[in-house]
Amino acid sequence: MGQTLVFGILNGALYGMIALGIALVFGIMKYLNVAHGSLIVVGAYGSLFLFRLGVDPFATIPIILVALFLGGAVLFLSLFNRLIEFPEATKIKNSLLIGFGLMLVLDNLATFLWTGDERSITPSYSGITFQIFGLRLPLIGLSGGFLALLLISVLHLFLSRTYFGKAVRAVSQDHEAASLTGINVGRTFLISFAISVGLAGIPSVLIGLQSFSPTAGIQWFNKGIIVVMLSGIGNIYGVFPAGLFLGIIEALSVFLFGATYREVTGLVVFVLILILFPRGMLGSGAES
Amino acid sequence: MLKIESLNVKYGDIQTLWDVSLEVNAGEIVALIGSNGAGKSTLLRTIAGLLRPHSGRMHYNGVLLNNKSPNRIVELGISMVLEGRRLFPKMTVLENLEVGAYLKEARVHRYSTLDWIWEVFPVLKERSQQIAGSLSGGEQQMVAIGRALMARNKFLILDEMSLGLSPLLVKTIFKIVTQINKAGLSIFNVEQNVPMTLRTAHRAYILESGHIVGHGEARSLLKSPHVKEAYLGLS
Repeated sequence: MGQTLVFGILNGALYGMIALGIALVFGIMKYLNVAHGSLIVVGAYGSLFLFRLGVDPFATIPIILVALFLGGAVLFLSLFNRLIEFPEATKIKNSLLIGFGLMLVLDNLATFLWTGDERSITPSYSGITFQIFGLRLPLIGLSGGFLALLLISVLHLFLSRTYFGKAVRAVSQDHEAASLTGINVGRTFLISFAISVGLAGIPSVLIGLQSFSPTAGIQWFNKGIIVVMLSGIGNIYGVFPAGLFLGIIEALSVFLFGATYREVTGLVVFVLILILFPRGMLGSGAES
Repeated sequence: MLKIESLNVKYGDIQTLWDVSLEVNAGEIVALIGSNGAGKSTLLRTIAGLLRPHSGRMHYNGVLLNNKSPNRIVELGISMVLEGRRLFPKMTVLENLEVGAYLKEARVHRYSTLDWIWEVFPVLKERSQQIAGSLSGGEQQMVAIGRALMARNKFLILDEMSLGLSPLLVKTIFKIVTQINKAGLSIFNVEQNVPMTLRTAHRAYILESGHIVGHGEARSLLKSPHVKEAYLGLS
């Protein structure tokens, strides 16, 4: 049971990180970037490539982060930029279409470049576990949990302490009023989108250390979007606890019903929560 | 300072402003009065860069404003308080004000500007850590004006700031507007509260169905039969 919780929490931290990128873009510009999972997988291939050149997987994180950040900026300018002027509902629908298209392109490109085989980054320390109070704690999972805490803290400081972070929050709450304080809304959207894609770099490497294939992106996106919905749309600070919640629920279901029902249980709980708390588990679903 | 010449604005096929011309000079409080749907907010949104004019010209200190983006227009020196306050409701009062000083010049001087804002609106200092959305209507209006002042611009546009406020608060806010004007800002005040507005302004324009139908000294407009009948309910 304790062991189950450990794995649930570590997995949940990963879900939380994936969801953070999705929630950021959705909260600020009302884009639903379905290709977020595929971008994570592309990052995982990038990390694998560098690992084979002899770079330590964790050392690839900053490189993948910057590469995805730049890629995100290019994607925004080429694909998503034109949706800015539309009303909210149109933005959601059209960004979904663009996201699905992008996902297909990325998944097929990955299959073309690296074949459909399942891959994994396997450094010498990948099997190391610690024993504490009879619980097994995998080194890589622990590092993932640590990175997740680091990420949420840095993001929090960025949004609450820096001027640009405050501008990002202002834009997400009322972009018209924000533009009348001198904030360049278009540029804020561009940078936020690039940051969101860049944040995919951390889950990229962590998923790379598990296993991945060209079409794995949508599964990770699904986890992410469930977590975003659970936390309440637009609630960036709720994303992380909601990720842990999903991770723990899944782990418990493996413990109780076997691995076959893991996804099913996660989805059933998700639907139940939406029925019971239509605005998300954590509060009004409007904090940003 | 602000000069608008034969401005025409359309929403799709529907024209909402016809040949509007007006001028605000340095140091003035100029009022724009008109009933609901006259096109007041359309005019302000066009000046702010949120709407594109169909034809005509808008200049600020000689710089053409047509087709400039909203943030560029703030940089050029025009600040605006939108109708409905439009605060960032989940940020604190202080954060709202800080965002008001987003531009480089304003950011450098933000602490001294803040001191001035606390002086003008002492109640905001007490509320500085409170979430803006939880304030009363009057306090929110003060934050909205304060946020616009944080940009340290010389020109301030106010849209319907008395809307939904108690008569006492309206009085206070108008007194503050006069105070801000004395501190050196030119003000373009767009209002439905006609008597109060005309008493505090130097000059005024009347906008009806998208046309400027009259302008002149604010105090003499107060006595004009048309204004008396249409806006003051006197005959």
